[in-house]
Amino acid sequence: MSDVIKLDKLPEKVILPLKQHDGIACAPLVKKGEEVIIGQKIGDCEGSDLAYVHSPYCGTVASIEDMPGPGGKRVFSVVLEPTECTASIEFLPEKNAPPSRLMEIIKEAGIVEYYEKPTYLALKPGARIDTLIMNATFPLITRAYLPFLDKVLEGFKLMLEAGGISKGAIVLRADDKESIQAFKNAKFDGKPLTVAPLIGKRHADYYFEDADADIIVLVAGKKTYTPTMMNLLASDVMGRRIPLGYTPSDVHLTVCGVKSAKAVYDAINEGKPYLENAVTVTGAVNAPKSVIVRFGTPVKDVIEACGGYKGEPGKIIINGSMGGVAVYTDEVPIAKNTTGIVVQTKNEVLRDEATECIHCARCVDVCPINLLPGRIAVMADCGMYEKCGEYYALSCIECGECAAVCPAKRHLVQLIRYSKLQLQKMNEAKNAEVTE
Amino acid sequence: MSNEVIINSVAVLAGLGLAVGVMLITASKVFKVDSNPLIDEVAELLPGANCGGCGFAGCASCAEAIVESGAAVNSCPVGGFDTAKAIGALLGQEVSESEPEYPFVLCQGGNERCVTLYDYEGVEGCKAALMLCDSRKGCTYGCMGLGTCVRACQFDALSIGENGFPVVNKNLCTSCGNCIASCPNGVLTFARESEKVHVLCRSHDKGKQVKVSCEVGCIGCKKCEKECPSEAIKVTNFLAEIDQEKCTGCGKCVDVCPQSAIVRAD
Repeated sequence: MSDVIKLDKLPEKVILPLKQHDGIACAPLVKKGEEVIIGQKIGDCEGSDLAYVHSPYCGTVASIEDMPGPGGKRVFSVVLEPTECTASIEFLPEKNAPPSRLMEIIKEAGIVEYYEKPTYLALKPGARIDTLIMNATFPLITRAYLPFLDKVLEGFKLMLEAGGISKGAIVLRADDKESIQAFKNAKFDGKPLTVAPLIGKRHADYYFEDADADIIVLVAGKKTYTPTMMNLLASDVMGRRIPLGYTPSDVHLTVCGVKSAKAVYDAINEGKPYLENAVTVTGAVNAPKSVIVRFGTPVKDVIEACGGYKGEPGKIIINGSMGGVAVYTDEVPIAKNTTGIVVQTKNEVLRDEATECIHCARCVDVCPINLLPGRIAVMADCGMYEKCGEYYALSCIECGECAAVCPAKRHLVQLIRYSKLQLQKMNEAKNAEVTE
Repeated sequence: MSNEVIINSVAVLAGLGLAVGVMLITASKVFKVDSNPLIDEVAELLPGANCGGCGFAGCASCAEAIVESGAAVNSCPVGGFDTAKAIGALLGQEVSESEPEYPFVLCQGGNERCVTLYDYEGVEGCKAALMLCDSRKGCTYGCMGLGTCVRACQFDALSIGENGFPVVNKNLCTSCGNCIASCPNGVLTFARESEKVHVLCRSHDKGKQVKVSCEVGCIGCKKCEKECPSEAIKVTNFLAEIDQEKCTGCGKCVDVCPQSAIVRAD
């Protein structure tokens, strides 16, 4: 692949957020003015929901303060002034480790899934898991990892081993021909992989039986399953319906990404902590491509590596134009959950004002999970959150289709997301009352 | 024949009406619920806006609380002194006039003096904006001017003024406190007319950071603390706070403040 590059140029400053996952923020282990080397652990935390932070650069700590993060909010971060030195901690590979030790290595390496959950928790969520699904439906990300396909597969196998999971299904997009071909050519344990389409009611279990293999590759529809679409992915692939308010682990499934499989391979076979991942840059840049970049690198440097802005930038959106968050500065860092950067020019940015709903019901037509987005949004606007809950606001996957088609330009996703937040708060308050 | 039908139906209808009437009267006598007539009388005196400013579900439950569970007669902030006096007269309690409190904006950043980081286009309201990302202002403590408080006010007493922060119309304000509860940054607070000097800043940022983002933010220099003759000002965590009970309103702090963050209210 020609349009995947590795970013080697040293940025001016490196911002390492101490919270790059969904859980507890880490406490800094370094002080201002201290020298750090590659792979050094700089963030430590205690508790159950943690992902340690390691420095992917060699340099001096310039400051430890709140910096704008890729999620749009300020995050407590370690700011480094990187230097050319390549000193690193000693990477200790541990091949043939027993499963319990594998899990510890994964936890120690600070690997985080694309949906912000630490991998060690995703693999062992507490319930019995029988199938691990690898979500490879982000075509650009999957293609960026094709050169390391054997490592990804090996990592996937190690994840199964560590979690004690018997079967693994890799899910690809139907129109991603290049990746499908690469998986068809790939050999795993000396045998070619089974690559099968998901048609009608033939779900993954059919192919597991048919191919008599533990790892199979499935080609799903022309859909990219974003982090909020986990339940849809699990039910599409395995045919197991997940009731409202439940997670894939309740039907014995768990989901991982391509990036974390590669990271698990690196952690176990090379002893490296989670230091870099692939990020796709699309939109108004001169040379859109996938870049393998170390965490903490500002978006500015990544865009420079892609030939710089084309025209005057109007908006930079992290993690996709549909469900992502626009950031107000290009000095935000790439973090463990960053998958893509979309740049829009000034002319492309819609600046229409929201008007009243005209009840055309286009949002209802496009909603992939058959909600009534307009209705929920109106009730959220009036503060009737309980009513939103009755209309299943909580099962919204925040794909953004409704807001994209709305002729009145209403901020449907934001309103629904707001009602979800309020509903969650109300539920938490209720639970707290019950426990009291 | 036809006469008979008419007479019959009229007789049946009249009989039915009589029977049901007797039944209803007995039912209302037998199943009578004793309610305190005072509650209705107090409810009559309350404004009837059901705003919830008193902390109860509405005017009826406020009246019930005043009569039965001993809530203060001046529980209703909307009705003010006159209502309290009338209820007090009804219940045989003396009411002394207390000074009215009004919502007060503890920020003077606004559009011009505080840096704006980005344009926000989305759902009108500070809470909805904060859900997505940081405040659009350089200062994370200050007023964002997106009008969550304006929408919370049921009496149209608030509006977003020219400078981008809420302006209180004291003629319409009933001091119900809904706006203060709605502000996600806690920029609004109650203040009395007699409280003459205020620190119009909420920023706990360090001085250097405040200087970058806001022209009129408190930098925590402690000049006011040293100057104050009655020891009413304390600087905690880079923000000056005035103890209004000790403050004499001499205004020395207003003169020394290098950022003009302390202001004399007129």
